[in-house]
Amino acid sequence: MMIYFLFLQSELFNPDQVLKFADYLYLQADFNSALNEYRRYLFLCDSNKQEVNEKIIDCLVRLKRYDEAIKSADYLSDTTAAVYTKSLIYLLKGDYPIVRELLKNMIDETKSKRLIGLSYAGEFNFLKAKEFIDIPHPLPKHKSPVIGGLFSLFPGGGHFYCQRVGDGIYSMLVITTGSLVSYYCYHQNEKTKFYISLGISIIFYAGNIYGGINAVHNYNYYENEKYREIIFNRGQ
Amino acid sequence: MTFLIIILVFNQHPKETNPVKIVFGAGICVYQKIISPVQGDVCNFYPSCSHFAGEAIEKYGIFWGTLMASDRLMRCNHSAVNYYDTFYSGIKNGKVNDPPENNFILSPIRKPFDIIIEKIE
Repeated sequence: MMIYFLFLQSELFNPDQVLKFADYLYLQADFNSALNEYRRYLFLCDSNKQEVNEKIIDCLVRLKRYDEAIKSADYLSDTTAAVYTKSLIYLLKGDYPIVRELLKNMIDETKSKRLIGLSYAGEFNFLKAKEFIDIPHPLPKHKSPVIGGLFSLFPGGGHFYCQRVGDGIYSMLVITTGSLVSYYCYHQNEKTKFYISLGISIIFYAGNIYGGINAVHNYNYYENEKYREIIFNRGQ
Repeated sequence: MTFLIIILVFNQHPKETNPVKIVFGAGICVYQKIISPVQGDVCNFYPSCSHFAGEAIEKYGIFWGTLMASDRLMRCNHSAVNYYDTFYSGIKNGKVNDPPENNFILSPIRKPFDIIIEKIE
C-alpha cells in the first residue's frame, strides 16, 4: 500500500520539481528548507551540478554555517572558483590570514587582489589594503588613548573627549559625591567611614581613568568599523 | 544572616585559593543573592554589572577586574542605550550587550564577529 502511495505521488521525487521547489524556498528566504531541497535534488539526480552546489554554499553562508560551506566548496568542479569561494567564505568568517594564504598563488588576478585587500581591511590594516584596492578618503581619524587618560584625571574628562557626555556626567557625579562624603567624614572625625569612602572613591577614580582609555579604544574601534563597513559595502 | 553569608562565601568558590578573590567573589555573591533580588532587574547591560564584575575578576584578575567593574558601574546609566550599536555590541536579551572581553584595554578583540557581519548584511 505504501509503495503504491509513493508510486502515485512520484512527483515528490521528480528532480525538476524538487529543484523548482528549492528555488521557490530560496526566493522566499527560507534558506534552511531550500538547503535541504537542494541536497535532496543532488541525491535524486545523482549528479554534481555546479549551480546547485553554488546555491547550497550560498544557503550555508546565509545561515552562517561557514565550516560546512567551506567543505561544500570542495565539491565545486571548477578549482579556481572553489578557491575564490573558499576565500570569500573565510573572509566572511573573519579568518583573514587564511584568505591571503589561499590566494597567494593568484595574487596578480583582479578578483584575488580585491579579496586580499578586503582581508587587510578586515584587520583594520587600511594602509596595506590600499595597495590592493581603492579605498575611500580620508582614513578614519583616531583619538589618542594617552590624551584620553590625561583628560580622565578630571573625572569624566575621558568620556567627554570621546563624545560620551552621559557617561562623563555620571562619572563626574559618582566621584564628586564619593569625595564629598570622604571630606565630610574626615571633618566629623569618623575615621572608619572616612577610610571606607576614601577607598571607594579611589577605586572609582582609578576606574574613571581606565574608562577614559577604554572609551578611546572603543571610539577608535567604532571609527575603524564604520570605515571597514564602507569598504566592504563597496567590495560587494 | 551571618550563617547565610558564611555559606555563600564557602560555597561559591570551592576551588579558589586567593583570599582577595574569595572576598571580592563573596561580596558579589552576597549582592546577587540578597540585595539584587530586592532591587529587581534594573541593570542596563547584559551581562549585568555584578556578573560582569565576577567574570572580569575571574578572567583578568583582581587589579584589572576591579578597574573594569568600577568603570562599568559608572557606565551603567540611561545614556548606555544610545550607544548600543556604536560603542557596544548590539542588543542581547533585551539589554545592551557589553561582555568583559570588549572592555579589556590590552585585548585586540573588541566585538564578536557576528555583529559585524550583521551590520555588513
